[in-house]
Amino acid sequence: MARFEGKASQAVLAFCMGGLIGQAANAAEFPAVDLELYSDLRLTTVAGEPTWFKDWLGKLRYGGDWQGGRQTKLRLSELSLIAKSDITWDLHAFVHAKFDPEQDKPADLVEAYLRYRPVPTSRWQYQLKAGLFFPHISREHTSVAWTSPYTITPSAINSWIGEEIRTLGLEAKATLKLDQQKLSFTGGAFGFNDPAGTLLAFRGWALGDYKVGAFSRLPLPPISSIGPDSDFLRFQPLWVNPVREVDNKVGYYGAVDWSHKVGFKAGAFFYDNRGDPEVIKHSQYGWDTKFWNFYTEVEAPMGIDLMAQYLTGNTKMGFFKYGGDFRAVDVDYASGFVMASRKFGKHRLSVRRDWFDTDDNSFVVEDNNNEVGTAWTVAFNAHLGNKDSIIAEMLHVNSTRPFRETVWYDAQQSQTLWQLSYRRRF
Amino acid sequence: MKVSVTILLMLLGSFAVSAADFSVVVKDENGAVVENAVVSLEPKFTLNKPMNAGQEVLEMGQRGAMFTPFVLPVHVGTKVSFPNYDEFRHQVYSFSKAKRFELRLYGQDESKSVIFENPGVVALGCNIHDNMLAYIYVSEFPIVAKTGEDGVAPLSELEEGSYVVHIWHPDMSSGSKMTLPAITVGDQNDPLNATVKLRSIRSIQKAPAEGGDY
Repeated sequence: MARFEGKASQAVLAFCMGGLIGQAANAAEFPAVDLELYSDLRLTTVAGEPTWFKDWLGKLRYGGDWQGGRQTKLRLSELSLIAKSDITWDLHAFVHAKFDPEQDKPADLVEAYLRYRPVPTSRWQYQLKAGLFFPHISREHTSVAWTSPYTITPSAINSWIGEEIRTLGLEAKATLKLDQQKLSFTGGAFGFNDPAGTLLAFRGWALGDYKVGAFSRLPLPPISSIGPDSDFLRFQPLWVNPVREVDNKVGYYGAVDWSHKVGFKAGAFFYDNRGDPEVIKHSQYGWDTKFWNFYTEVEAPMGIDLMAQYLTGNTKMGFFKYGGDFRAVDVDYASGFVMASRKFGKHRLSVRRDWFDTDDNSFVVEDNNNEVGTAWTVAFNAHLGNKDSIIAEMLHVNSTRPFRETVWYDAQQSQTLWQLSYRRRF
Repeated sequence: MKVSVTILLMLLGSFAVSAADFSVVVKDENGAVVENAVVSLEPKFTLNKPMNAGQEVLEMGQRGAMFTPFVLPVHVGTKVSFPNYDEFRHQVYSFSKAKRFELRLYGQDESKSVIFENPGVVALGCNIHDNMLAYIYVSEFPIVAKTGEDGVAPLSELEEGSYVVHIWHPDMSSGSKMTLPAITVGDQNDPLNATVKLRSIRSIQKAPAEGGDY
């Protein structure tokens, strides 16, 4: 089995950057590196639970103050730099770096990869991708800088993909293009995603458009079962660095995607990071996280686009405790959403319903990670020009997490976040 | 005065070779008019004046990450130019039997051309923009036309005589075309009605994805 060495991520990044620099010297033949800035100016107002970014159990990127009072703020939510370069006609480099106020680094890397796609010579088209990237799980993130044209806040599923799922590895894809349909097979081998699952267990599902950088840490709520003062999992710190290699084992994923010209798409994706739950390195556990993601998209009558995703999986971490059959953390998780969206000229109105659930299989008395919740999202994306748009969004979330009772709050919490986002590309 | 007489003589001259106008109306099995059907005429006699002899350069442009037109009928031996009207690159390709090629169009107003020597259907794609799709129909017969939104393929200035009419459309089942019995074109002609069997799901070239990366 191949092993990842500690500095592999830096090596791949240096390779991608090297490609870009080499490219600049070659500018006579190819256009120079194509740079683009993406900014998101955000007006938000919300009351209720503080956000999980304040080391709490709130479900949203923004929340109320410590007394649950309303917070209204104008802020720069994201500034992204996207560099694209064509090294040859078939080989392309892509780098996405980002600033945002929640990130613990001034700037961090979201994606950096090389893509090789030769011109097809038959009905089969092939593609190779190497580097750091999002595996194609989200159906919502089709816009620049891994954003969604439908809503400001992605579904619970794809919020989590943004927070914890990033693969550093190699992906091969083969697509068969027939007259009426298209069938793709994708396989990937990766490392550097061993802590994935930590947020889902200790914090639960959330809805937010934050995407983690490769070198950034995310906070965990100060629940009594973790942290240095805990007698349950004292080696688990109150943060997670999702893009980390812990156990030197290679993970994998595979996907099948099918689309038909009648206006129907469907696919299945399986992920297993093959984490070793008993290894601790860089203060991070290996989490054995696996999940299935299924989706379908239908072009319904009256111009309505329907989209649904369902993700279900399990994550395990820690030793078998007290001589039993269960590891310290053993959590099943599932979430689904259905979205209806319609274009009005160049504008778009979208309505989404989310369901989410985590089911704790072990040590619920010491460490209760059970949760259920739902959310409604309504958003209108007003197209102002080719480079700018405004999205207005209402997001209402309702969740029950019994662990909240042990700290301060009622187990059930609900809140409504109103947002206005001005997005511009430069 | 002299000039107008010359024009009059020229007009009379052109009538003298007895050119006739003719059109084909293409409908589907539900009676709806069909756009982008290619009508080619196979003369059953020797033409006095060869048409579409290859001097003409036709165009398959790329604009807003779409090919334009969606269907281009050409005669064997025709040169087609591929101008790029976009500010970004296109990598146009075909792996169709009738013509395999790849064109690398770096930037705006760059154009390259291809000569289509073999008859058949050439499906075009772009390796950078997955949504892009178009067809070049290369006819072995000298007279080709395409139906417009009204389903009418106009065929002007035909020589009088007998022709076999062939019809092709991207939504006919793969590799098939329709051949109608021979017709005679005289100096006055009614439009010929043709009904084609098409797949219920029509091929379209989709617009690029919203806010797409390329």
